[in-house]
Amino acid sequence: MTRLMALICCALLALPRVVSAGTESLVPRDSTIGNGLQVRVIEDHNLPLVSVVLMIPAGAIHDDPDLQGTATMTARLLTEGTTERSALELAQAIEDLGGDLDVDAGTTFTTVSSSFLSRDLTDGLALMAEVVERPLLAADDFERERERALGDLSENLAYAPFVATRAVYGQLYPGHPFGWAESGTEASLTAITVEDLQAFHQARYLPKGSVLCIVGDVKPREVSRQAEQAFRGWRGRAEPVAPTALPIPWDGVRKVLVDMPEQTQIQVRIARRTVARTHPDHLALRQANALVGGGFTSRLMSEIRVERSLSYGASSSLWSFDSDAVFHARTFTANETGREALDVAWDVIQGWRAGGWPDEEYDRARNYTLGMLPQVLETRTSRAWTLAMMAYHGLPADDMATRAAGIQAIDRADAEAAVAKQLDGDGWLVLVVGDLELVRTQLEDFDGGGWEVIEVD
Amino acid sequence: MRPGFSSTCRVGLAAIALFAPPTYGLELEVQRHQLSNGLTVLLHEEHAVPVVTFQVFYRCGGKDEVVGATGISHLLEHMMFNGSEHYPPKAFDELLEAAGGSSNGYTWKDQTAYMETFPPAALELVLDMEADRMRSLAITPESLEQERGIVAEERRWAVDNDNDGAQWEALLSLMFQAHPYREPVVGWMDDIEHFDPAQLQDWYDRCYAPSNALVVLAGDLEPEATLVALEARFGVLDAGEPMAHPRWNEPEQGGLRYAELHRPAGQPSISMGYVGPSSSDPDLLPLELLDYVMSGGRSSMLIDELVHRDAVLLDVSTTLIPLEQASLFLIDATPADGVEVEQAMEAIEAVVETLRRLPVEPGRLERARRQLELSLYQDLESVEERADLFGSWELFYGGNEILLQRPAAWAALEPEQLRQAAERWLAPDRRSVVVLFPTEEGGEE
Repeated sequence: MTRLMALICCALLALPRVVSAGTESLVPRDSTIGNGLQVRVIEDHNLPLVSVVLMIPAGAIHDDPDLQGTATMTARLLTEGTTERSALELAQAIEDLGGDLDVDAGTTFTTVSSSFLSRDLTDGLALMAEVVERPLLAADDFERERERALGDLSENLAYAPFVATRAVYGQLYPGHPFGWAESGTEASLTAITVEDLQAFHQARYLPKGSVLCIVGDVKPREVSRQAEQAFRGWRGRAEPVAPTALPIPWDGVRKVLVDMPEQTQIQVRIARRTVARTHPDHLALRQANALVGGGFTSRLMSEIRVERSLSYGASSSLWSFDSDAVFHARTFTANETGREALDVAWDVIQGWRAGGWPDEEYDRARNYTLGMLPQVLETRTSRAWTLAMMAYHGLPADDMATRAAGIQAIDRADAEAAVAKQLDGDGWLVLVVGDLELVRTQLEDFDGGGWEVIEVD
Repeated sequence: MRPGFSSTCRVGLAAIALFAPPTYGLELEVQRHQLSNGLTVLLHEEHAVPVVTFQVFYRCGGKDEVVGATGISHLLEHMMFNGSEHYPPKAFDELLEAAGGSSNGYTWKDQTAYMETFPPAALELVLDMEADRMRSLAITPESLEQERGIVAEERRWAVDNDNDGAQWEALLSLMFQAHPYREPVVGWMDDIEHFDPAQLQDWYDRCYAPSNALVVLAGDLEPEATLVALEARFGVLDAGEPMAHPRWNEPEQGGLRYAELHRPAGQPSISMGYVGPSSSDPDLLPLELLDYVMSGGRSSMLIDELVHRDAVLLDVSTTLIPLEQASLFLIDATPADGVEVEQAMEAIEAVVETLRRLPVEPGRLERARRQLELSLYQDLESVEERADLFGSWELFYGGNEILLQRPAAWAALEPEQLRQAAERWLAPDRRSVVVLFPTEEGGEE
């Protein structure tokens, strides 16, 4: 064991040096061009590549409640032709650059993203500007995309993990835009018209408030000039939307079932709302999450997979909106072991909330997070996305570069205190998706019973 | 230390990017060494990010298994994290994560591979743990039972409860009648339930040996010191015997094969497959381009013509999966609402026939080349991906050097060569089709 101990000590002692390296490629140069579009650039000349993410504050939260899916449908139609080019001509122009233009609408914003060889950046930015400024949004394209969206939805609703995630957010945020169905429901997709998309585009796709993030083999000053040139015709600022009041959390634990016949496994979810990324406790919660559901040695993975062979996977995550966040633990197991897996997952979460974590366990989780940082930020694409998320959360420009130090500054007591304070005993959701005919009986008396059955559309 | 053989491949991508040669002067250097016991090692030095990736490939995968023991390589992969002579159960991941690293492994048709990515200071620890489990894995009844349950859950998750997984499994069984490529890598449930420790030990002894392995290290490392450390830990291991692999025994297909699945689903889906050339066959090149010509973006043939122009399909994609002894050219599609499955299949077949009869239009070919070129650069972004690519190409494509020569090879292909490849490999009598039809809830159609 002497040799082993020496190896471990060498590895641990050197850790802080490792994660503090390479900060020069983690801090963006920020500028704002004439139309109000913010431009963030990181130089990285290691490969002749550049990754671009344009984030526009136009998401599902801006949908009309009866027309959920409007932001997503608008995004789907963005590359279906512009006022200058047919969809085919546009696609050929994009593919001539070797790339693809991904447009994706999420809960709070839409992103247009791509990667190019850096020699093609000027042409790539021009194409991005064309699709966000002047999409055709034609009626016949809309009808075809609606058909495809309904097909995708039908397929997704036959997939238990999708159903479970949609149900979790719908239950945690009843009546609130954070709980709306990003990709719409059958009813809302049927109700949306092409005029709704045109109105959404006109009101929300505007430069002021949008952020263009570029990482790669470029020069910041040159990029600003290229962006100014490409987006010069894009004007306006989206009207701010008054935030909807967050729902009041319920007392204790809610237990919810969703029926999906003919499943041989159940999906188990345990979730609770908590504080957003900008709250002082949030980073400590992230560290705490690493311990309970982050790496392969986390408590959930260890107790559910390694110790009991109940599942292929068990994990937890922390997803943050601008004003709220969700702690979300998940696993899946055979119908026959559904109750056991739920009991174990629940006990793990409760034990974690109770604190008293061994130092060795906390240090391992922290080192794991620190070690993953360079990997997470290694590619141009991952850094471009991180820049966009930093802008969304209003984080300082040096956030990527100082993240390691921030993690190191959080000790076990900080993380335990954050969990005790921000994940107390109320507002918890336990949700199970599966074939209720086969699994309901074994679940009945979990935590005193009182299960509700809901439908997900 | 007495390395038996070394060579260096130094290829400048700038010199072979043909369309508008960049001036970046990018070079990727891969050193090839052989340790004193014959173990081949590739080293790639890259200091841009303070991480190192270690990957070890064992030439032992699904195709090496026999009927009644499917999934044994995959089950063994799970057990490789459960303790070896000097590291008790759980130690591998606990020590690695405590040192800031992460690990993973995968099993595929021709290989089983393990990878760790970690801060440079953890290099010695990783080498020690990997060398220990290369020849001294602890296979116990307890660890077998533990992983058997997990693998059974994995199978339920990835196949039994997943329409795509079930369709893929059915398609492979149809495409291959004799060759073991037809069996699922995860294994049939009955096989998973019946393995015993002696079988696992025997499989481990045959597969896990330096003579059957390739080690790749990439990232923030010093090659000379790394080689010394490798020799100290891996070079001293018993080389073992090279593993014998099954020969290619698949008969000529000689006609369409068709099967149906009936499962709960939102809509029907079509999965077509053609058995193509092996990964080292020059004919793979035109198929790489055909893959993009057919479904590489909105303007590609299948997507433009069948999704957008004719509205016969809701979506469609092609995938080329190269393997050591064959490749799989796959077409997956969802018929548009109101379109019969048969009509959708005829439309796809018509596009394939066009490619078999007529040379690809030059503009399409050029776009496919550019997409492949960009895709290659993107794949080379992370050291983990680089290591995986260098290792895979070294083992199955005829050498890692060929990877970096790919853009020049794509550029040299003429449209007629794509037509010839399509005519040969995408012929109707080489086609297998599995259609998944939705059942109503409760299992009735």
